[in-house]
Amino acid sequence: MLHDFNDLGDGAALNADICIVGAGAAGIAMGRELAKTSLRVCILESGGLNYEQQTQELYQGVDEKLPVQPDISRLRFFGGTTNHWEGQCTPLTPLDFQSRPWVEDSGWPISYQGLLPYYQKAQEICGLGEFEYGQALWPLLGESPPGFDREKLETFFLQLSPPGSRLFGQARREEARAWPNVDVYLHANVVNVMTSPGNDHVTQLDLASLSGKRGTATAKTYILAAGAIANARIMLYSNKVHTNGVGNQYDNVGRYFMQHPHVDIAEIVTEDTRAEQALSAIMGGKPLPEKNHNSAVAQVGIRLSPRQQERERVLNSSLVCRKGIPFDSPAQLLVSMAKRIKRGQVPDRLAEKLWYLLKNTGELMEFIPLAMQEGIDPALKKTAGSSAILVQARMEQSPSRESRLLLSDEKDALGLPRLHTQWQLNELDRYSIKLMASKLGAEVGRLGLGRLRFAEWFDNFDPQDNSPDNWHPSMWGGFHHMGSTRMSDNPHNGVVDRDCRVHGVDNLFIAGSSVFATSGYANPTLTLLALAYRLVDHIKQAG
Amino acid sequence: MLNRRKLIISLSALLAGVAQRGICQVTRSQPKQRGDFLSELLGAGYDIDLVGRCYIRRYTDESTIQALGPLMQPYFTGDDMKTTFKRASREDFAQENTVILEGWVLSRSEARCCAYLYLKGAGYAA
Repeated sequence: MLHDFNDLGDGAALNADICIVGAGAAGIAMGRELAKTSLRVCILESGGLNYEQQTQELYQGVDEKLPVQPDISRLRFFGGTTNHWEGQCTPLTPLDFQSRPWVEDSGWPISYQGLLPYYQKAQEICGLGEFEYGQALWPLLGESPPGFDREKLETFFLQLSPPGSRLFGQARREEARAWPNVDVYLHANVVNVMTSPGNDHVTQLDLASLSGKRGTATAKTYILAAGAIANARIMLYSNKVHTNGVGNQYDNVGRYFMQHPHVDIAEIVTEDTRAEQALSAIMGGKPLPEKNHNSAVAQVGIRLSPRQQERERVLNSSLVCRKGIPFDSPAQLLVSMAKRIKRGQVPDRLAEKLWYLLKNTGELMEFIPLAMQEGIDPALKKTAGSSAILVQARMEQSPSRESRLLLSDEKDALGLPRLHTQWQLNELDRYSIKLMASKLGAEVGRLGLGRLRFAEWFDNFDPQDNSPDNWHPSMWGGFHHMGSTRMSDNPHNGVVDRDCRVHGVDNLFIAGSSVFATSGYANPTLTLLALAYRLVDHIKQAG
Repeated sequence: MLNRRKLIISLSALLAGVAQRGICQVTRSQPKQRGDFLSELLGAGYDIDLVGRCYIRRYTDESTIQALGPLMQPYFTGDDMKTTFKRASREDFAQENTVILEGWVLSRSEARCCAYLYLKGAGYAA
């Protein structure tokens, strides 16, 4: 059932067997499962059923290092960030769960095989068919893979959750109204997780709404499912018993924060139509059969083989190809130069670039008036076209304590400390993508598909350079937030154990991508759903 | 940070650049000249002259015709030199014997070929 916390009396005391914080992907998935039981469940959602500016502003924070954009990358209402989810689903690989000697703090305490039954279950809520993301899909698409040396590069698939399923808030709203034993309270913000004096048992959650209503929620079992950033933030600001917050005796909450750096790094310049046709197999989306796959659209990605990762001691990153604007389009060059100047920077090799623009005024004469009329992006598409095959990196980030989420001194409208991010990448992250691009270049040449050309910024990209300016300004984290309450059997480098229970707190669990021990390259939603289902099973079995 | 002084210096450099054309250029993909044996062997899109110039600056021990000639000889053996060269280039890519010049990931053999052509002054300048 759906309720509005604002409609309750001040000081309302909610009580349930299980209390879940957050009605995003994980919260809704768990609600659906628990609705099949006789357990009493309450789900606390900060927002309403739709976007509300004042609630969204609670997500604002400060990015100190690389951009996280916490109030743009997340949505704070029923359905959570699935309300702008593109629907890309793909699982982590078996290697992602293994300890890799060349990746510090790698390895999960659970295996891919152990999570597999839950991956299959997660397909259903995403509106997808059979759990299949490997080479078996090629014949179903009527295509052939490009012929990469599979000792070096492999293709993999993503499947797109269809629009009717991927927006969880809309797709599951009416269903949630009918849950007999699961009560969803909208506009209920958790302002404190109260624990026992020993900080080892949650006694209640303190609640507040933006309109000033106060209340509490008590349960036998509590689950934080508010998203990777909010899970950590809630634990950090719940510091009335211990100054470090809840479950943070070893200073791990907020640390190991990971995203998937996304950035265009190169283009493939093809030699002939045969090559273009071969490359078309790895671009765009193609529908799978209705039988067994619900006609889901499949997209192709490229990754290093596990053997190659081990041999080169690099991360499990990926590349995707798409049609786009050529790097040396004069209009594109003019726009990128203007952006740099606007930021107060002098573009590299300014004289040469200006000379190039002067030699190619034809495209500019078409672009500039169009841009003034229709905007830059539409004008770029119309004048520069989409003839290039662009290569975008979607990288694994290695777990690093130094990449972290903190609390700011600024307060939000509820009087809670705002978020302060210190997202940073390290040399292994940077080296991995440079190496992978070189491998792709060699394979493109070997197969006679053309030549790979690095973007100018990527050609100058120095894996040893730690400054944010080393990255292209367009680099973003994919809006994939992971690792801030990571899973480890060792409380010295983890926040939750293999059952997603917070170390040292007997009745507090965490659901969502904040428990990821490593990030892989895979979009996190399918995996966080699988983990949520696994957690529900554990809680049901534990009684 | 951009300021008036830097802008003036940069614009002055533009004028010098117009005269001198700099070390390496941003150029549009140059179409290969048709009918030329060597150019037909090379990949698509890159400026042969530019790549060749960059190669000899980086690999100074291969920066003369005399040094490059013997290295290139194996690429042009047998009756079908095109096939031999393409095989050599493919083998380079398979062995990851590649070089990255001006962002282009090229086989060592084709990069050498560009350097050779540049040094020979065969008229591939952009």
